[in-house]
Amino acid sequence: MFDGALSSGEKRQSTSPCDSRPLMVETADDGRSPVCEQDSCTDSTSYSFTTAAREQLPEIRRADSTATFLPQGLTTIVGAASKTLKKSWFWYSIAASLCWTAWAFTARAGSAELPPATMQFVSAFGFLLVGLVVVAVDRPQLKKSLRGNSYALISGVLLGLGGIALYGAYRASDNASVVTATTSLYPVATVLLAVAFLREKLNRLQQLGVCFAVAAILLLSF
Amino acid sequence: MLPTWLWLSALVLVSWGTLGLFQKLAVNHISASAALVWATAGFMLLQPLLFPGSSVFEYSTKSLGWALLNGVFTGLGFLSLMAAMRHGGKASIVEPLTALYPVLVVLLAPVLLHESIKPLHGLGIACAVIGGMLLSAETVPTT
Repeated sequence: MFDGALSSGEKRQSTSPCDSRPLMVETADDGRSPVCEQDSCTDSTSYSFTTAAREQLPEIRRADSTATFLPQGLTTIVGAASKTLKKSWFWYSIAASLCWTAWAFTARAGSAELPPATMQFVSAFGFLLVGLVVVAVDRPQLKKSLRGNSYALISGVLLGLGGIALYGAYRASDNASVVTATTSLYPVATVLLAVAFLREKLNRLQQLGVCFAVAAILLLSF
Repeated sequence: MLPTWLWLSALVLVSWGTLGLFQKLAVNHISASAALVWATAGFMLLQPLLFPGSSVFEYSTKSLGWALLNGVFTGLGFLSLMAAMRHGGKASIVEPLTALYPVLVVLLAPVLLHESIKPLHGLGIACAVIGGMLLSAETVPTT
């Protein structure tokens, strides 16, 4: 709650707004914790953190004046997203997206003549080529972890299996766009499994982001 | 009884849905490049099921070249995705983020394939941009 009062998801300030409030000392003497915790402050009085923060921290007032031009929620999102731009995983994700885009165009060009099964059969050799180049250039340690190797091996099987099932679904259905829309929802399964088995946690904005991403995938698949 | 295409679509959802989980588990133990090599081995295990026989040589070199290039981009995309996970990206974020690639396909299709953008696609692009930004908002408190 206090973080929310400071806006933009900023770290909590070291100067507590409760410091100038004798009321807090009195309530602490009444048996409450002398430490100014978020809940005890808001419970004991109607004097809110937001009000206290505005009175004491000039930075907050400056932030508030900015917020009059930009909605606070948008400021929070832009601030958090801009920090992510500095992280390497984000740029690797962008690289993956660019590769998938090229994959989509080459799939369309190739499948104009090749049947789906032949398309996957031939493309597997392109995949193999990348694997061989990686071995030659990067020389990865291939006996480091049996568990890791097994997981990677299974992921390769799942990639191929999903591809075969997709081609089968296209062949069995008269409506290709419905198959595309249905199968493109696979990230939802990943999110659910990652939360359940990998104990990954998403904040509220990211949960909302998953919903928007699903809506986008569906809209773009038709 | 459910139609065949629905069963097969469900198999796609399960296969590619769990794929992200196994990719993350793999790169928790080994490097992205090592994982790619083992994934290649797994992918090649299914090749006998797809073997088209000698008919593969009846197709044009151009189409076979596109198919081969398609595989190269699959491999590079797979490698990039696992590198993202290896460098701290959560499977639950990286997977939906990279799955937004149809935005680029829709935007480039008029230029490369002379296709037009449907109004529904415009709404999809807007959702993708908002979704991408929200998924990238990592530094706000987790629930």
